[in-house]
Amino acid sequence: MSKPVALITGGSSGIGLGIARRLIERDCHVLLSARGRDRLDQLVAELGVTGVAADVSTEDGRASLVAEVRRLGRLDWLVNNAGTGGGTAGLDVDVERARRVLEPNFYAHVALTDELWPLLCDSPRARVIVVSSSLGTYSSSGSITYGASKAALTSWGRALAVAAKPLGIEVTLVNPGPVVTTTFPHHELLRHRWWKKVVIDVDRCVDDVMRTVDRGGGEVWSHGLFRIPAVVQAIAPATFDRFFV
Amino acid sequence: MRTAVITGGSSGIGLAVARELTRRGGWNLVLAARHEEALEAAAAELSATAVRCDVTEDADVAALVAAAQAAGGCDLLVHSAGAPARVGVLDADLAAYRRSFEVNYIALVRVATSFWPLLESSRGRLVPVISVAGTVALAPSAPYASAKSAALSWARSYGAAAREHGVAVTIVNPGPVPTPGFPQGGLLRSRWGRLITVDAEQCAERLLAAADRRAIEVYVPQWWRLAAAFQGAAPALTARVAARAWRAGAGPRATPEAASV
Repeated sequence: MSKPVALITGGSSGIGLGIARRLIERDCHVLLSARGRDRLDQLVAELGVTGVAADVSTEDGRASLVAEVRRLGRLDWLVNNAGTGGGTAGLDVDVERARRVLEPNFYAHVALTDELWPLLCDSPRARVIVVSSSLGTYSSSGSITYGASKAALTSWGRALAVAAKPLGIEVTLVNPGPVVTTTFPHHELLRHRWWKKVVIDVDRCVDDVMRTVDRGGGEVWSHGLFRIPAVVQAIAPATFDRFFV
Repeated sequence: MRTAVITGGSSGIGLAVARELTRRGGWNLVLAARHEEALEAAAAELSATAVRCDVTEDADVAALVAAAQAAGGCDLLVHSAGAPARVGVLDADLAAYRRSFEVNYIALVRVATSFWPLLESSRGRLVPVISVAGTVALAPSAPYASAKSAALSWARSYGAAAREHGVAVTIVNPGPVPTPGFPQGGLLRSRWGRLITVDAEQCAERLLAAADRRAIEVYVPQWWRLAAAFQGAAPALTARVAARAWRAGAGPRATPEAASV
């Protein structure tokens, strides 16, 4: 019997790389995909993983990833982690920007999962991890199009979890608040008196993710306090605007 | 006379809002919709300006802005155009998601930003009609719910920024409202279903009352707000219950009819 195969998109840094390290420890054959080839080559040498240089926000990029997975003949872990920051603030927004951020942050997840689903269904124990954002559960004016793409992803991830359960596929949705990564260094928050208390590092975030995965799936916030804004925004939008936006 | 522009104005909630404004009096109406026949009938009934407009097309929305300008500007913009996408999360292909996002989310961005100069100069009001599905994940209708979630998130952020420029943004999240686009047949026949649905007329009254007091976000009926709160507090459970309720209610028993907005 061959080793379980794990595909991790956006796997060359941050939460994706953190999850990759855990799956290597669990004796998985890990496929890392990322856009930058140099960093990927470095990780291939260091960790003994397979690297696929691909941009999952493009059809070609996804096709090369799917081809690589099919060549291995099985898939047991799909970690949909790739995403982009680059939110626009306030009224500085247009249709093109709103569309552009959807490609990596939403459509790529939907398309890749759709294409790899038959392989996941064949796995004796398939797990899907979707990395969204706490901004998928509440809105702030600082990241208007980014937040919208993550809100879509969170809604889709929750729907996927419901539909996958009867098929025996466990879905874990991750809604990280501030986690220190190269994409999101959070320098300012770390200097803030209160905010710095809810900023966590990748290790702790990945600990939480793996614990939830091992419980059979569910949702993870990087810090439990980030469950609160969604409830406040639903119940008292005016109060929310005063304190959170 | 103030001017109101209503997208999706030939049927459902949009048409009901147009009728309510006519009843109140003092409003110039500009109705926008895709289906010419229904649009002409509505415009004739309400002596409104009719603009054939597909909100997923840049040129159509630009023409709508020009028509509004000619009619006197825009003091109230009600964006109620949208379309259902009743297909399960695993049955929908990427194209189905893209279609739903274009009509249910990107169109809102296009309409709101295109009308921004008119709204800013009138210090007017923008009312995006979104959906309870923007707050609750729906596995049997995922392309719709995820697109509405994006629209809601966007509208909340945009609204916070717009208010600083004197433009009020009032988000309206209707629960199931029986309209030609959303027949909700099953729900209306069940006893509990009637408690969580309103008709388009009641929805229009609530919408305008909320816009009048410049509310930030309302649900129709009100206690759908609880569903949004539950989704935040107990997401997995809420998504499971929502999927089951949807299948029992609006799902298979509803007439699978094409969108008419």
